[in-house]
Amino acid sequence: MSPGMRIRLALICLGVFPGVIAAQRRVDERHPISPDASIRLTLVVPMATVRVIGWDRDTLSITGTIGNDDRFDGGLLASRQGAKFYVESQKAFKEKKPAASKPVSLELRVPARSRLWIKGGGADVDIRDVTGSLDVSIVGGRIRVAGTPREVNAEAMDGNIEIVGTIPWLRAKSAAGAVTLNGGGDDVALSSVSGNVVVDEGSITRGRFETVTGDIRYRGTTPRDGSLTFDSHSGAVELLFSPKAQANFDFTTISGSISNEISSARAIAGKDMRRRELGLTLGGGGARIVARTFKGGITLRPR
Amino acid sequence: MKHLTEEQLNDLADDAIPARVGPEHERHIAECLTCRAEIARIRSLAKRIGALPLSIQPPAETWPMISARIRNSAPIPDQERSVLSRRPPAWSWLAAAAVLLVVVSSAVTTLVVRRPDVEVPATVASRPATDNDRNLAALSSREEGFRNTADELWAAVNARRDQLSPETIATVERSIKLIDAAILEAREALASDPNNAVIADMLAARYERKVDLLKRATELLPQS
Amino acid sequence: MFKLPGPASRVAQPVKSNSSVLSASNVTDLVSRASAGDNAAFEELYRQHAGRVYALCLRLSGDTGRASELTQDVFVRCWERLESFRGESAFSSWLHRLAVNVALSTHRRDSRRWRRVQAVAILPDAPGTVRSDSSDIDLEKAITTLPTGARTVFVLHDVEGYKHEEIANLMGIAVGTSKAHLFRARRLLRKSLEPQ
Repeated sequence: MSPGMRIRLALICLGVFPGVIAAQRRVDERHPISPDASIRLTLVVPMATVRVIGWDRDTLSITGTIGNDDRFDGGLLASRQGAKFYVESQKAFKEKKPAASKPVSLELRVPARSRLWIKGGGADVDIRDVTGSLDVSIVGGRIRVAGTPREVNAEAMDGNIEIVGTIPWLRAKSAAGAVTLNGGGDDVALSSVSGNVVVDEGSITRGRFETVTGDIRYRGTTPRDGSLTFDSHSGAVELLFSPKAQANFDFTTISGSISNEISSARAIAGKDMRRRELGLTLGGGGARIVARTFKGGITLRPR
Repeated sequence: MKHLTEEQLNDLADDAIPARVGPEHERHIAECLTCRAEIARIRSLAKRIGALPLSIQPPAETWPMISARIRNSAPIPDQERSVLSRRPPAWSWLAAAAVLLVVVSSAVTTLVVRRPDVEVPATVASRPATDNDRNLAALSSREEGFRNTADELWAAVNARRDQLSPETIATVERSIKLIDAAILEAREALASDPNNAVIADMLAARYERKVDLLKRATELLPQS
Repeated sequence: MFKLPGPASRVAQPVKSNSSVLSASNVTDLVSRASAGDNAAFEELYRQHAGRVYALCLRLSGDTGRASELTQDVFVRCWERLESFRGESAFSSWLHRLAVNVALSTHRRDSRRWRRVQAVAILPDAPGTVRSDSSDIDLEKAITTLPTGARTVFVLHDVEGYKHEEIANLMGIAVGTSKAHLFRARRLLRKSLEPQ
């Protein structure tokens, strides 16, 4: 359970939620803004829910609720090329009483081509229909991006990251959370230390997927000139490709296992007898797909 | 009465040579309370500016960041250039280490993996240094450098751990523990299989993950 | 009448570190070792000069995060160019000039690419963004709210002691423009700091 959920549950258990609602105030701002403006939002609060929706208007709208004691500040550049807002919970960080802080809930409607920068502690950030660039960094909670932004950089410490859509340039990393991509991209790098990394559907041209103990699962395609690398220390790597794929597979594990369910080729011991290797070509070759683990298993399955 | 221009007032307040301030202007200043007050206000501001500190300590994590960056761009001696100059990411030095490890003895390899319980044979230590030895020494030093970078970043986080939530600290510690365990396993495997380029590459990737995680942790610290 | 000292006198002031005044030979030795690749020597140079560089970057950028990044860039550039330091001026002056150049060129690049530095500069910043060792927090805060051009000239002229001719040269503007920026900055600061 995320820290934010714990705080909410604690508040409900203490019966203070009605008081919370009463002690909140509304935010309702609208500003004309450039269609490709740079918009920054900093959340210095224990828990926030932020929903960002790209729309076809040159207007920035911020609505929602924050705690009565929270500081909400910021504004726009005179040229309307930029906006910067922040919310700070006085109780959580000045008085060091996180539990006394009221949940923050904001909805931002931004011009679709905006460049967004969001940084927060515990936050559920949900972004959709933005075609500009996104840079989102949180500690706990969740990041969810849906749409086709041209660039995404998403970072979480123990939060999960979920991307739905085809992103030309994508970087997503978490320490303990899962990273999931349902879609594709040209240049993609996903990583987690102990969380799972999952790619479901879509086509990726250049991809790098890495965990330390988390599992990696790839169920997608890559063009003939594509290049995908999967690397885990002890997590399992499971790759699902069409038997008709045109690709060269190159798997290596130091002390794990290699399983091939797509053809009759079997892994062999390396030249030094200390590792297992499997080299496999499908459809006359093409894309380069490399998987390596230290002790996690590698499995190739038909999709 | 015509008051002095902003430039003239500032020049006078700055004690600059007021080329455009003639006798008539001096007479004006002597008589005009407004212009005199304006000059006094500019000087009062300058006095406050003069009292500002010329030095402000940067956040503690600044040096570890610089250290990591300069290690990645460290001047490379000529004899290393041929091996290491094509290093698109910062970590390919370890891949190069693996190549070198193929041609040197496992005893010398212990320099790279720095196992304290294994002594370097005297024959290796006493023979004239070769280019490979020098490269290995440089590589060993760089591995140590990356370890130092991780240590410095961790020290920066640790020194201000009370400014991060307990959950965040717990996540960082848990993740570092997992990465360290993976590093240890890879290093032990490399010690017993020094020719294994795959393990060397994995070791590099784990170090990279660790430094990246610690950098992100320092970025979570409130600006000081 | 006040007159701020010129850059040479302000920049090249001996810097106190660990309660000891640094000697020129000590700095020369550190520069020489650092230029030969000695990281420890370079770290010592950083310890001695980081405060001065960071203060400059903080005031020019108006944002602590940006200032930290700029400080990193300055010292990385310094590391790369140490061999070009000939000792014709004090190391602190050389480093200071390098810092100004890095800060200004980064600002020009960012202005073109993102147009966001100005947005950061003129908007109220995140809590705790501007802090200094000085008790004059209001003045520091007011400096960050100045328009970029005015702030840059103000910091270089009134805080760092550069002459208008030098600033004009560094920023690629006319001397008259530099003066206009300075007067505007002073006017805005007075307006912001003096009771209405």
